[in-house]
Amino acid sequence: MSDWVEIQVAVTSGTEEAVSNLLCELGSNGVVLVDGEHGTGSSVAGYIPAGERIHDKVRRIRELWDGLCGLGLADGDCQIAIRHLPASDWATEWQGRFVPIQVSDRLIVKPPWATVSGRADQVVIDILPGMAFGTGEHETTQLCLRALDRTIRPGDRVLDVGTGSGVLAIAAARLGAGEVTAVDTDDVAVENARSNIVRNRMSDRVHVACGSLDHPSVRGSYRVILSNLDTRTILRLSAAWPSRLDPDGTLILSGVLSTEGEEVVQSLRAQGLDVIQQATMGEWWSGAMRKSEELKVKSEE
Amino acid sequence: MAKKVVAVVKLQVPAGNANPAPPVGSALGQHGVNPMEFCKAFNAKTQGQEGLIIPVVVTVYADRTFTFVTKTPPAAVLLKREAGIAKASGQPNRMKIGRVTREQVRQIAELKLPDLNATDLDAAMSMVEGTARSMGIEIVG
Repeated sequence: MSDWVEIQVAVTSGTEEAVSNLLCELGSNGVVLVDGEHGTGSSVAGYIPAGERIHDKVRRIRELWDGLCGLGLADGDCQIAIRHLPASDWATEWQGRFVPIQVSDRLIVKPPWATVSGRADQVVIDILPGMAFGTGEHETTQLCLRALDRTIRPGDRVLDVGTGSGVLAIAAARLGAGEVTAVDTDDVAVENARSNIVRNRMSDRVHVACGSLDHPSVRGSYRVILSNLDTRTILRLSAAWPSRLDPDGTLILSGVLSTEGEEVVQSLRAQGLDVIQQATMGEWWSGAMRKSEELKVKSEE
Repeated sequence: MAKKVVAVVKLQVPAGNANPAPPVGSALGQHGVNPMEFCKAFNAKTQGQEGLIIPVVVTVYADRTFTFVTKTPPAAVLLKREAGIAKASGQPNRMKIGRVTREQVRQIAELKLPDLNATDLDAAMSMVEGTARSMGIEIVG
């Protein structure tokens, strides 16, 4: 592992391409483009292993800059900032930012490399942070997990719509659900969820598929439906929720801003769902809904 | 899926050859993003474009998950390919090291148009011509 040197060059739209290209030709495995903020200009940064002839490379950049000035594409001095980056294991250093999270009294979500000494009755879930939403850090995930923990009963059929990393579906299975169906319209999320399901040894109880409520895997009605989506999508699907819910089932909604919670409640009330529990965390709202007595009677008829 | 953006990182990375060393590791690591996951996905997505540099915009969300969008290769890289040269001129005002035709400039401009801050093909062509000049590539024909 070696130290690195960052060479950052101030650029304009007329010089950005040539400077980025030169940094790559000088040995940088790509560049970072930094947009100017608060009146400062844009810049391009390249990275060279320390010990290489940095002064030669800086000289080459200055030569190019002079050439660009000669062509009228640049003016003024070439502004170069050099910064030393100590050796680091970049592949694992980011992991230090993720720590186990105690979501509720019995539920802990952690990255795979962390260890926790939980009580025997506690459920610990491993989630590898990747591209799909749901590392356990976000308020909307935590609100949903807490509501799930309060609601779930052994053997429940559970549906998770917009599963992301699979964290909610896995938690449902680990908390006793008999069968969990998870869907997501993003195939990257489905792949991510699948690997987390295997990681938590829940493949026999959690089935994941690419799609939405109309996917063939979504069959019959469910005792618990989890939906950590966003307000627009939740409202778009509002007419579909009641038909997927058992008479005594609970729909847990999250991903809604506190300022939009009332709109969601009103919209679902019009579909025959009553709110039985609400919670907020930071700027986020979560609600648990059940079929109204009126809707239950209508469904039985 | 309630996504709140906390950072946008703009990179240019060799197709199929991203690795967790700088710039990828340092740029993404400072936002707590898993660089290995990015490299795996980026390399898979840019497979078959080896030899080209690919601009990529990485969007980082509040729980440090991320998505990314790849763009068309920089005009500089496409110009080198069209001119058949490995490196641009180090002194573009004095040393011309390659040539492209106006037709080649037009083709590059057409390819780049969706990603350029240009409203029409003429504006895009003039941006590509500017890049060619900055690299010591002459435009003929």
